[in-house]
Amino acid sequence: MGEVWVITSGKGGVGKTTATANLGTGLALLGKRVALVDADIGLRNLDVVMGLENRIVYDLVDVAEGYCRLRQALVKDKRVEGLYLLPAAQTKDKTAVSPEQMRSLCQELAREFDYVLVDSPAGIEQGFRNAVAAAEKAIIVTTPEVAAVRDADRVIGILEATEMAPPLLLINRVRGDMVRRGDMMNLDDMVEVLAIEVLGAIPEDEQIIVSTNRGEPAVLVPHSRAGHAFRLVCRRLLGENVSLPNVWEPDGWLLKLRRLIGAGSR
Amino acid sequence: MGEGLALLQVGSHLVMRVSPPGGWESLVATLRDLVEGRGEEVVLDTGPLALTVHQLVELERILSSRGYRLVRVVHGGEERPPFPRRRLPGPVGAETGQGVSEGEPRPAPRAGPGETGPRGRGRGREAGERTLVRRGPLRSGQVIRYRGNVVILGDVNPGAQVVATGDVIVLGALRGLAHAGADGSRSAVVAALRLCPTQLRIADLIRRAPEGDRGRLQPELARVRDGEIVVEGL
Repeated sequence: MGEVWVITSGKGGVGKTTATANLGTGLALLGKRVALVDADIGLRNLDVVMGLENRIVYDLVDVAEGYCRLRQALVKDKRVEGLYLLPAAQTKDKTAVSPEQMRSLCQELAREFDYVLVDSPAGIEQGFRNAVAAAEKAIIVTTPEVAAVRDADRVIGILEATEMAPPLLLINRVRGDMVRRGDMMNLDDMVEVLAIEVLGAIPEDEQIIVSTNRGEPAVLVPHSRAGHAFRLVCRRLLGENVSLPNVWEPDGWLLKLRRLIGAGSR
Repeated sequence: MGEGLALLQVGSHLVMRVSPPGGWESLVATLRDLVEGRGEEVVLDTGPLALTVHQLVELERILSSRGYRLVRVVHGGEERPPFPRRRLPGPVGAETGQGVSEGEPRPAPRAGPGETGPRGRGRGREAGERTLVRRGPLRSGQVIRYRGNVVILGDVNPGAQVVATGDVIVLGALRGLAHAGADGSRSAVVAALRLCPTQLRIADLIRRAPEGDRGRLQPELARVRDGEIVVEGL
């Protein structure tokens, strides 16, 4: 039985969809069978980021309504073996499925896949509730910004009241130069408030914009710093004790992160 | 009429008293068996049975499905308004069986020692007033309202609120909003190991955190002196 993870944040635009695409692709590259589920009905993006939008025939709502079988709606990625996408509907909205439908759908996927990654929409309303209902584990994505951390804290509070395992934190769009100057929150500030285990951090990288537009996840781009970081995070997710590459200049912030990740029990 | 449920018409309300008082399960079963109502307003007396927040929500739902409107829950002589749609995470105070009051805290029933609040409201705090102890961190969006003192073992994050008629003590960093003496008691205090709230309120007074103040790393206490909130080291 596979694991169902929800990737959520509260705040919009911090990189949930990017993270879902890259973590999913990265895990598939490591030999896992991965199903990506886009729970952002009405504002779907995961298909675009994955470069699979032209091949969508059926979507999540079609499956929930019994219009087609789950297998028919899954889009197979041609670049990486074992990677599939269940797209959202673009012409409906988040009231089109219920939390129970999402749960049973993802349970069905978990029987066939090692990992089911659910891309949650922003917010804490119906769409978020649908995405969370399906999952047993969560990754909270945030950027090192006060507003994003505030929203992440809210979401963590909501998740802690459920039966889910404690969520993991993924810090996205880190700019080491700004952290050094004191213009950007450092790791200590964030962990002090959010008080959950850090899965990893991804540096700001122009390549992400290029990747998104091309529909080619950054993990597939060898020279991408973010892609490289995502690949490391995938290994960490699988339980490996990875350390940061020497490509990043060591400084107070990164040394602490390295210690935190290296010393983590995961 | 369910077995073990006494109904009394008191003024415009229907008082439902569980008799003889049993446990939670028997109360739920009894309510589920109620004769269909016609929108009557109900005051439910649960006797010595103390309820958690979630249980209050559940009762409201059951009664409403039977056609009644729950307006008040009385327990052990104390009245408490039922919890509306909003839910607190986790059964706050569940171990002690004390629910957390949702409505605005009401003034203390009799005059005690201490200052009188402005406009004559509030009677000061009585000795031995009850205290709610909650393990933190209190996260953004979470609210605690309590008639008594509140002690948080952990942080209070920005976006979280603690509102108490008594004192607010945070054994951690207070980064959110704290309102002590919410019933008008200016003698209430707010204390924290690290005092850097978004906003501090005591009774009817408000104080913002100074710009750029990240809170000194030492325990501090905020109280009212000469009509304004002052912060002192502990």
